[in-house]
Amino acid sequence: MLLELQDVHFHYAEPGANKTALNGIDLTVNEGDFTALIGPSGSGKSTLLLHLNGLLRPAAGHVLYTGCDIHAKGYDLRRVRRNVGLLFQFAEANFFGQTVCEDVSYAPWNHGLRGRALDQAVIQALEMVGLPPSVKARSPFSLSGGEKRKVALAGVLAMEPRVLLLDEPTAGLDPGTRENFLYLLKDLNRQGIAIVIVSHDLDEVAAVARQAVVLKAGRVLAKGTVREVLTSPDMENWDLEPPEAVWLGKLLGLKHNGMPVLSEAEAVSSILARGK
Amino acid sequence: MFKDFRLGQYMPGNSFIHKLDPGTKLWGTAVLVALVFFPGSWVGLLAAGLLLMGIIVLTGVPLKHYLSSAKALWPIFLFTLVINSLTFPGKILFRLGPIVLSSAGVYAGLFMALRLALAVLVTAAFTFTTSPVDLTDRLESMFRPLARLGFPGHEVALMMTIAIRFVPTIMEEGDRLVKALQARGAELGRGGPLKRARGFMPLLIPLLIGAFRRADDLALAMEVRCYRGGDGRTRYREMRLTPSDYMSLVLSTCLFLVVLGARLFGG
Repeated sequence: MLLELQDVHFHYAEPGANKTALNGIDLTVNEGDFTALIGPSGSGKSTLLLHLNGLLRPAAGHVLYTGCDIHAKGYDLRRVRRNVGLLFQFAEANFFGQTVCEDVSYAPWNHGLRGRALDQAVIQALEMVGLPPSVKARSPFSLSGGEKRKVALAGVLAMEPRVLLLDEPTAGLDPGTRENFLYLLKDLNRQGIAIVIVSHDLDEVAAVARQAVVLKAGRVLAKGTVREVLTSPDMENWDLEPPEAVWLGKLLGLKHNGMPVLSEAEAVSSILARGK
Repeated sequence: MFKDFRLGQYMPGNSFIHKLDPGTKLWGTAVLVALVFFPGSWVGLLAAGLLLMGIIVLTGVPLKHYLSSAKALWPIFLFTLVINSLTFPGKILFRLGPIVLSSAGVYAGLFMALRLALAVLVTAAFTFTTSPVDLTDRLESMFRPLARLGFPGHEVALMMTIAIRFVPTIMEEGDRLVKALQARGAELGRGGPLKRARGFMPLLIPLLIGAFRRADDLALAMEVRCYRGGDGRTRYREMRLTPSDYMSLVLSTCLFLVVLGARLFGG
């Protein structure tokens, strides 16, 4: 088990009253997982993500990384930050370097890499996101939207994390770039990086994730495989709209290997099989 | 880190101070600041502090928000204390080469730092209880007589309001950027002063870019909603002074005259 949240509570201090953001969350992230956190706006998804990286400290409960409480006295939080990378929503808004190289090398530099090792880490990270080494010398502000997002991701991958946390990573990207980015995430997961993604786009979740966790008002309402969650009859009670393929599958009673269909491809193959 | 900084934020409420006209509060704030800076003795400063405490209680805003406002500016207080301590002549307490620490300097430094802290609390009491929209309206009407002299009262009032309005936004943005840097292994706020200052450098560029982008977006949003300056604009809500305002204005003016008289003729 890589990451574990045990009965985590958190609230934001607001004038007049505290706003509860997380209310007794239990969650585990294992090696190779691709988990999606879904739920309506304000359900606590992004707050949960910040806890997994140790950026927020729970008011009650524990956050464990490889079995150790990351907020225990004497624990070095840098260990978590290095192994659990976090890509913020619209992360390209955080660029500060004059060159891509300067920006991407920020994290490995903070973790003590220098000289050739640092250079190698930058090139490798750019390679992982499919950008050529020549982009290193360019200003990150001059890149296209998709390239900027990839550079931001490279800045996280340069730490060689074991877990990648992504807060709406495809927000604001055009459909082609979005497809490309999702393919990249699947590829990173295949390479062994566990991924936790926050997304409002359930078609996207159906396409990439294997596990899903439903959050509402700071509580976990359901968790299971993506198919179990997205095809559940309780989706409406959770204030979630199922993906179109799931909706169509329910309407037409379509099955894929005896289970409700999850994607357009499964719906099409089910319809074709019926025809035969 | 940045989100705890509440100076400049309006906190809606229903207190006596909240209900006062922004112009009354502005005058009251000026009087209180004068009250803090006029006295030359600790007794005078203590009296100003006690009056301020009473006003803080009347605002109904939790004390912790005032304290966090003052806490956020501690480097300025410290700087004041250090500069005064090292530059005032007097009985020498400590000497290290050219650096001389005098007892009169420490006294003056503490006095000035406390004055600044109280002035910050006065300003906080004003911004916590005054909505930026109300403030603009009142400022604009106060600047109106100057329009004959070519003073762009409406524009100045709007600029001031937008500046105040953007303080919490920039703070939130700063907080988000700090988290983004920490997620990438930055250890902000650790090490010596130089290391700390250097650690915050990567914040400046995205913060500035974000501020310019927001300013641009705001200008566009105002234009598409047909904003064309203050000429010919009417008010949805006309502001009128209430008996509480008149009472507060009289009281604060009397207080100002007493303090001014004491300062000028009291020696």
